Amino acid sequence: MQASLDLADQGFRVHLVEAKSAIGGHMAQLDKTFPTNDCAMCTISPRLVETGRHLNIDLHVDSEVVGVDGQAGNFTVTLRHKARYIDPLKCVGCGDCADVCPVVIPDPFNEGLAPRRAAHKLYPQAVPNAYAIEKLGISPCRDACPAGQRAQGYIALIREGRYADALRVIKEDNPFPGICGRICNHRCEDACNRALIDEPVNIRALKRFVTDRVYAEPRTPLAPAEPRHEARVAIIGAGPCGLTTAQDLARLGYPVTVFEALPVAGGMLRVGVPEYRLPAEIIEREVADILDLGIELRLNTRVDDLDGLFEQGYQAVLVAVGAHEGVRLPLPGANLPGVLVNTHFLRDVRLALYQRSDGQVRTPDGQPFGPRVLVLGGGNVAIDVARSAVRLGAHVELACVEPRDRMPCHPWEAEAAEAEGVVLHPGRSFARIVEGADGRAAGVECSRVTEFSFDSEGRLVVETEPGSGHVIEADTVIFSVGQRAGLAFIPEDAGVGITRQRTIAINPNTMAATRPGVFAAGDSVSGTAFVIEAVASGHQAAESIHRYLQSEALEPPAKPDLPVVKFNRVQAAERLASSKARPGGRVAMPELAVASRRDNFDEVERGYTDELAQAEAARCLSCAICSECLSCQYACKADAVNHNDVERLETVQVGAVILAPGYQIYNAELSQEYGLGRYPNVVTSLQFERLLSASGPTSGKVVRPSDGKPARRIAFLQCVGSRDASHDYCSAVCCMYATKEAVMAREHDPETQVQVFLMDMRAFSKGYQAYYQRARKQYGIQYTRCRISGLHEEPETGNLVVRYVPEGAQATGDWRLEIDDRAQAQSPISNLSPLTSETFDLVVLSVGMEMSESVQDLGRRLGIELDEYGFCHTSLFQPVESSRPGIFAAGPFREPKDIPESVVEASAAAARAAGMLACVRGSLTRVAEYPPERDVAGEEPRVGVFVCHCGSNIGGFLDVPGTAEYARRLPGVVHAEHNLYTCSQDSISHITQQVKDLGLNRVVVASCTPRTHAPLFQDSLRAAGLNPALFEMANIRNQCSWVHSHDRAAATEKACALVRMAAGRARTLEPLHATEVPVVPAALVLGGGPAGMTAAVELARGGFVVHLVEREAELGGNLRFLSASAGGADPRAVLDDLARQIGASPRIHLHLRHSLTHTAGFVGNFTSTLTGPDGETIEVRHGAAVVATGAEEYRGPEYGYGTDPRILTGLEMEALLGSGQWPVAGGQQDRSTTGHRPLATGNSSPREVAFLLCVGPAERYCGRICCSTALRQALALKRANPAARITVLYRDLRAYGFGERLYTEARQAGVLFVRYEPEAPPLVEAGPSTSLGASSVEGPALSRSPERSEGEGEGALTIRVKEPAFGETLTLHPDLLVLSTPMVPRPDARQVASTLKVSLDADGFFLEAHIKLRPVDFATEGFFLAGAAHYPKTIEETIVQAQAAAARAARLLSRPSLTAGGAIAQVDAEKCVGCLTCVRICPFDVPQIQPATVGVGGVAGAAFIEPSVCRGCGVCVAECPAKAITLAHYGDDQILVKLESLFAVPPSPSVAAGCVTDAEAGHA
Amino acid sequence: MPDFEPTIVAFCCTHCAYNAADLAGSLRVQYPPAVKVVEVPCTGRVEIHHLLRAFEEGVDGLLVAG
Repeated sequence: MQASLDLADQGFRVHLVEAKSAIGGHMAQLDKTFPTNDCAMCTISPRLVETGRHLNIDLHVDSEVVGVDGQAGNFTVTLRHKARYIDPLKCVGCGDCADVCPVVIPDPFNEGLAPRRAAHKLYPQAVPNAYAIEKLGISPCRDACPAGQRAQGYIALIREGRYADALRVIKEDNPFPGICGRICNHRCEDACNRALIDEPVNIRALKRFVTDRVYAEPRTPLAPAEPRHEARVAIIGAGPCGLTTAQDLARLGYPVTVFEALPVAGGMLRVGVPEYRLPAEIIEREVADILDLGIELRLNTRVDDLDGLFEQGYQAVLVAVGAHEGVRLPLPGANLPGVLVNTHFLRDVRLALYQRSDGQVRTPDGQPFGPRVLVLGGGNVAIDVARSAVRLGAHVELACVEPRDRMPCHPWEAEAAEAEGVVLHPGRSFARIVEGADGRAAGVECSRVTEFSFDSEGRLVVETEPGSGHVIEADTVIFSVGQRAGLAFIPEDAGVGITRQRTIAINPNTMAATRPGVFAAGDSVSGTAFVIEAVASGHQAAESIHRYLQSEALEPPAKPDLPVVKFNRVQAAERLASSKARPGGRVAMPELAVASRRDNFDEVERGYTDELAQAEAARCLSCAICSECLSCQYACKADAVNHNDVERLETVQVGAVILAPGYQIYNAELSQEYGLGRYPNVVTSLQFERLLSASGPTSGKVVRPSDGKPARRIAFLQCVGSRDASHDYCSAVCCMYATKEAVMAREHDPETQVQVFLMDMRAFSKGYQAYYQRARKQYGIQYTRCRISGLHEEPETGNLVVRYVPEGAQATGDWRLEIDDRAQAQSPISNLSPLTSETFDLVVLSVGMEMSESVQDLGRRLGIELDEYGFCHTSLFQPVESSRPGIFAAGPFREPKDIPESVVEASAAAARAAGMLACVRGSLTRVAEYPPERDVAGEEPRVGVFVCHCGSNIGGFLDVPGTAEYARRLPGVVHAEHNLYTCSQDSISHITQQVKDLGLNRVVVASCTPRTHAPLFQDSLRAAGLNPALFEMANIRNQCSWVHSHDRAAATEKACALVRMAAGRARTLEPLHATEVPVVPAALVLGGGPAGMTAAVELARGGFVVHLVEREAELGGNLRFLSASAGGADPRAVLDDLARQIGASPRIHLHLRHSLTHTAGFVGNFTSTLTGPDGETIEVRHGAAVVATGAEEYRGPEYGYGTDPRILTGLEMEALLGSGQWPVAGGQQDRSTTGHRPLATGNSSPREVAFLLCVGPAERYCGRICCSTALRQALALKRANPAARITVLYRDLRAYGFGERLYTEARQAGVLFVRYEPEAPPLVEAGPSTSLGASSVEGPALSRSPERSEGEGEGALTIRVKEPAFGETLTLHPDLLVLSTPMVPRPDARQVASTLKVSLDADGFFLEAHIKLRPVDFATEGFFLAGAAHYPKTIEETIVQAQAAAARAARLLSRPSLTAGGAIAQVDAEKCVGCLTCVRICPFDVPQIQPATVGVGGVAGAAFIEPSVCRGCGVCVAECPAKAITLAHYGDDQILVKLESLFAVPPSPSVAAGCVTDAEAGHA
Repeated sequence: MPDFEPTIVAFCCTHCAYNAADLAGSLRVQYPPAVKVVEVPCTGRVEIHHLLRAFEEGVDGLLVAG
């Protein structure tokens, strides 16, 4: 965001690409920020809004960068926009979709601690303020279904008990849910992922359950479809296929006629499937629902003339006649009386044409039926025939050619038949029908099949057992060996092709027959199939017919290839674990007992009860997350939902690329020993943030996830996923966030006890050390230095037991601590087992930062170099440049870091990109254009009020029309209306139009919060030529409907009051006018060190004039003293290069040996005086200034510094390392120059060197760079002399970030590390009698070390230090002692601060505007800071901050003018007494007494408030004793009018009462 | 006074407390409808005479939040 804003404000077009559905990153998840304890969301939220609304930032959420082609200055970036399924341009953020979404998943924003819906907004303040749907792809159940039934969707709705909604979604794709719920072959279940765990979900039964529940209620006829087209369509056949097509076409608005030969509709469903499987009433109901759409159904109408239909005016014909012609095998006797075919038999049974009289069943034509019936065939239809015959009272046998295990029917069908008494004869071939004595069929002669197979061409091969011929006796024989379409009505010359299988020839993609306008679908083209296939085919035919009638290409457009969410076993188990689904097999379907089935056609399957259905629905794994139940689509009144959204690629042309992809937290479940995921009361630090957050899952109560009880004893375990075997770096932020979280936990509940287990406390940045000390002393946070030995849960309580070795009792030493042999020998403690246990309610894992797989992929795709952990490494002096020119990196992607440093880097990257593209600045920017403003002065207020329903967010909880009606009666209101979404694009234009048409001069919108929406509505005023200040909002959503949602009457009454107050205030509003003040495009840079030089070069590159001021005669600052040991490039060379660039740039004016003595003016227009060595002065004009005055090394008397040449500072050591000359005892030092060269030196490399960290002021604030400098120098010494004994004495080793690698390297090189407690600092002695301890020497009195006499010469340095792990005192005798003294502010910092009127912090460093989000700005507009003047920092950090300061200054300087005015304070000089109250009270130091202005009583000197810098807070207005200052837009009357309006008697009491009454009426 | 319905006005700083009231809405925190928010640019803008006027007008309780 920072980089985008910096660039966009500088006049560049920015494409901001974010993978998530909203911007904000991890910061949005945080509760508070350290070290100020500011609310993270309050801090970031204005940035979110600013970024989201910026005209020159194109926000691409749900997007990722696929590739970057081209080169610096001319890149083509390919973006992949993932499907969001909700159009963010249409979405108004009302949340109606989430309210109806039935899919509940763990909320990633709340780190899984709270549930969330599939339709969601990332977090309440998300930008863009739009919802998104989380959908992984297509569920396997939907994918497997020919008709694409959204099974996961209706199952989700069943879980929620929303049966009518469930039916609605089924009917989206299938008009026959009750039918398919009974007889579908349910391929969905075959594909169900749940089968990987136990059994598939019983989807068919659940579908039937929905219809059972809904159909139990009386049917309400549906509204007819709206006619939209003229062309008439004829459909032949009222079966499932024909009716599906009829429904689809009717919904599209075509007049449809369905012709049916039979007396009933439903086709095979009605006359082919027996009643006991599918009751007729279900079919009738579902057919009626279709016919309601306005379809004409002609029963008993056999079509026998295709041409005739066209002649009657039908423009398209669908043949969907099914396959009703049963097949008789060509056997001898096949046509004997008593031989029937399946289709006719089933049809006649279903039509109740079989008669029973005198115990004899007779066929429709009066022939006897049974009592012995033999069915020939083994398919599902044969079973239907057999079971129907059983129900007619017959003894039934069934013979088929296939062996038992290869019968084509479903196995459960055969089993059901057998259970009902059907005798099966599988594996028989039929020779002939035996003719009885009465000339009727008497049985079938069969042989036993020995071989049943298909040959290579797919032909059936049957061999029979010789001599196995036998007769199965029967009175009735029924053929059930297949059926085909009856196509006799299609004449040979009709132009409609017929296949050899007697089906209609069609194009399978279009269902079009060979004659234009004729289509065919269903069984008549496919042969016998299942009902769901007929439905699918019917849909397809309808689509084709629609395209045909619209003269479009018949072939359907290619459908996007959506991924099918197919799990493997592991994924399925994970989903089961993470969802609410319970383990266990499917819930059995209740069935009618066999004994009760045989003499009737009652339905066998009885259907689920509510409980059974809920239990079965709960087994669904919600594979795709979004279930496509379409509830959101129905709920969304803005028509923003599009479930057919697909990902798309886009390319954009850019000049530079900045990568700021952030980090992911370490997945601590991989470190099993910490128990995350196994023990519910072990949480990550990010989860803990959510527990602390008032907007989190527990509303800010710190409770245990296991039982919701308060967590009173909390342990933090540091370095989880940092500084370990798999992470060689320090994540740099965990120490501080753990401290902050600990402090916050104590603030939430003072009884909470917190213990932090850590290795080193890395509080290395500005204010951090003081924060840490406060946490310890004021909040009583206990810090324990160790790595824990174990952690386990007490199962009965959920408490966690942490085992560790406390300090001072370590038997073998901290694993980090490496002690030389001598130190070991000194330790009397050995082989103790001092393991201690502590019990906690909650354990927080301080997880480190990692680069996600996707970020690493991105890096690889872009061809930039990454390290083995995926971090983007950059060079010391080009810190934000990746290895590919034109691609910059910022934030944790470069190295783990905290928010301020990430923000600084973002600005730095922006500076580098802007410098590269300076020549095209402003070429692609957009400017909003508005008509000229209308003067409303002198007009009577004409207020227009627009009340918003916000979908149901407001309208659902209070009476919106009533409120609008009420508003109409308010004084000054000439118009009031209510809108569904006032912020939708059309409503915005509507407001503009109403302002123009009705001559409104004030506008009130009663809707949501002005924080997000006021600018939008103000735009509509400006578009109408009205000043945007003539606008007021009544926040009737956030302050009314949402917070009083249980009391409609009271909410309505309050909404009326809020509108009354807003309208009252609107009447008092006046236009606000801003003036443009030109900007001087030049910068003043104070300080010629690396920070100042870098800032100057960057600004000059950006095209600005720079005045670079250096107090000394030479550029370079502290960089001059660094030797090559700094690593990487040679500092000297870099310095020379910078100096050369400065010298070569015509834009940089160098002022050596000058200092700033005076500055006047305001942002964009400063005039400064520079004074030279001889008192001569220069005046320069500049629009901005960068303070880079640096810092210097502390040289105080601590630890004997200055008394012995062998006691050095870090910089002195740096010089020695560069020179190779070493000081010797008794020598003197020349401290007159900054070179610090000892006068007496020797050439031998020192044998023993001690580094002492945290000297002098570093006890108070962390010197930040001392640790890594000491490590680097120690390593250099080791390299020069590997035998040298180097000891580092430290309090905390703050080798943050990749500095940890230096620490590891030093330990591996044999550098010794000895920790000391701040309370017991080391004692230093030079010579026998001098004790040179720190001023705060405390601790035990030291006895003389016995080693003193062992060969150490007289006058040797002696250091004694109490080592806390062992509790023993160690003694060292180094040749050199290096005191790591910190950088301290320069003496002139205070003078610079007072000249510029900027602040210093407690330690004397310059104070930034906001520690988190404005780390390089001063609170005073126009001033920026960089380098050590801000705080000690490494050379790399200095360069980054200098680049950032340049970007921030360039942002200002690139604007031709600044806007001044608006809602700001203004002094009426005639009332001003010049009392200085405003000057003193203003938090921004804006008011000044101008001697030239004449105040009250003609006295010279009155206050003046510069409009371009006034922030409009109004503090001065409130404080001014003379009431001489006014604040525009917030005058006394404009504030008090709200109170007056609140209590104003409503214009008509009856209206107010009516308002409430309406509400009640609406509620009822 | 069981039936007493106080009228409470909250002067809320536009930068913080007003946002907090917004967030209370987003989180559906329920509070009595008697509270009416008046936005101010900064609580520093609120003057004593504003508060006194509020009581004069009939406010029963005041909250200045920022």
